[in-house]
Amino acid sequence: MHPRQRVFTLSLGLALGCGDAVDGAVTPGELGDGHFRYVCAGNSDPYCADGSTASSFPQAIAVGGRFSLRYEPRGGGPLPVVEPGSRSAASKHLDVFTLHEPGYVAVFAQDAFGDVIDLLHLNSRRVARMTLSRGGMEQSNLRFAVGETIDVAAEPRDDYSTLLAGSLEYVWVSSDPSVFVVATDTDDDDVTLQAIAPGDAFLHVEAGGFELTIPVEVDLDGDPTTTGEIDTEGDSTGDETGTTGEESTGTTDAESTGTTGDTTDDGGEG
Amino acid sequence: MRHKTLGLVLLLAMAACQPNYNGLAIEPVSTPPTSVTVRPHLFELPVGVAVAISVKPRSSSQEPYHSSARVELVSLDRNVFDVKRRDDPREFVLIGVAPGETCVEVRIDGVAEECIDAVVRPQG
Repeated sequence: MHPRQRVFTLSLGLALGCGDAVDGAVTPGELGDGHFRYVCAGNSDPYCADGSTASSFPQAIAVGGRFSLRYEPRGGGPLPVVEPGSRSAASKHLDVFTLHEPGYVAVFAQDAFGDVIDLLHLNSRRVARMTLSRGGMEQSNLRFAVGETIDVAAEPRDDYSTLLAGSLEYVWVSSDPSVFVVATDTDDDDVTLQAIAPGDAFLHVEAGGFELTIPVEVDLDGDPTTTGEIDTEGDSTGDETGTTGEESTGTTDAESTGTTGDTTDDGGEG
Repeated sequence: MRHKTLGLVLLLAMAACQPNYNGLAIEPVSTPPTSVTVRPHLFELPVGVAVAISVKPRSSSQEPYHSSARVELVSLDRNVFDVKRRDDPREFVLIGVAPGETCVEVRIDGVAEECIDAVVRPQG
């Protein structure tokens, strides 16, 4: 082998080795014959910041959320198909899974003869609450200036605040488009808001049967304590947290009333 | 008369050399995330939950089943309870498909020996 080829082969091997070592989107099958890999389907899965590569294998998946699974047998060989164990608990269409009910749902890795090579139980949960974040910081209200645009993201969670995987259909609505508008695709989990004119309004976001309402204030100068820059400043973080807390006191009560009601209902169904 | 007696004795002797089905010895080979019941005469699973089992036919006669004896588990209602095969012919995966009751027929070398009650209950 030419030395250059040897270096390339070694580099490739190391790269693949490192990739395996830091790969968190896999979990071992319960029969120990390989690994299941979580792959995002659609662009609104909070486990995939970009593309279809998940950051880790999810602890729980939202009821109605869309996702894909691959199975990687130990020692290689032909890739088995992954199928839901129960069609009433989960369905699969064109490699995309959807879970129908909260609870545990078994999926099988099957060979060409239909024999089960391995199995895995997924944990399916209803969306019981939703959080809204801006620059990675959770927000209970939003304040920005006329002409300014901000990016916000919704995160679906269960009763225990576990982030739920799966692509859901999101609906974003401004209660008063003369104050601010939702400027980007409204079925994604993150959107850009654009301030139009001074005033108070609400941002509604709905996904997985849960709706969140956030008060929005647009003013002429904006709010210097909630600009994106402050998120990266150690000294300012405390100020911002304090300010956000103070500002959101009144609105948090109103929100939590609605949220609690929804949560109780969902818990009862689950 | 002597021939008849001899024939009966031979028949009994042959029967004693054959395994006589006396249920399945069942051992789970996976650990489901929620409680399931896997007993020789009852399978009970929540809907959507699966468990892998290893089975061995038991014989009440002196003659045990040979390891080549073919064991099949066949659900009589796969819309309620399903049984999947594994590569190992003595291993199966049981799955609760939808709430309800049915039974799983045990066939040894193609002969139906018994039907094990199978119950699927809703989760939660």
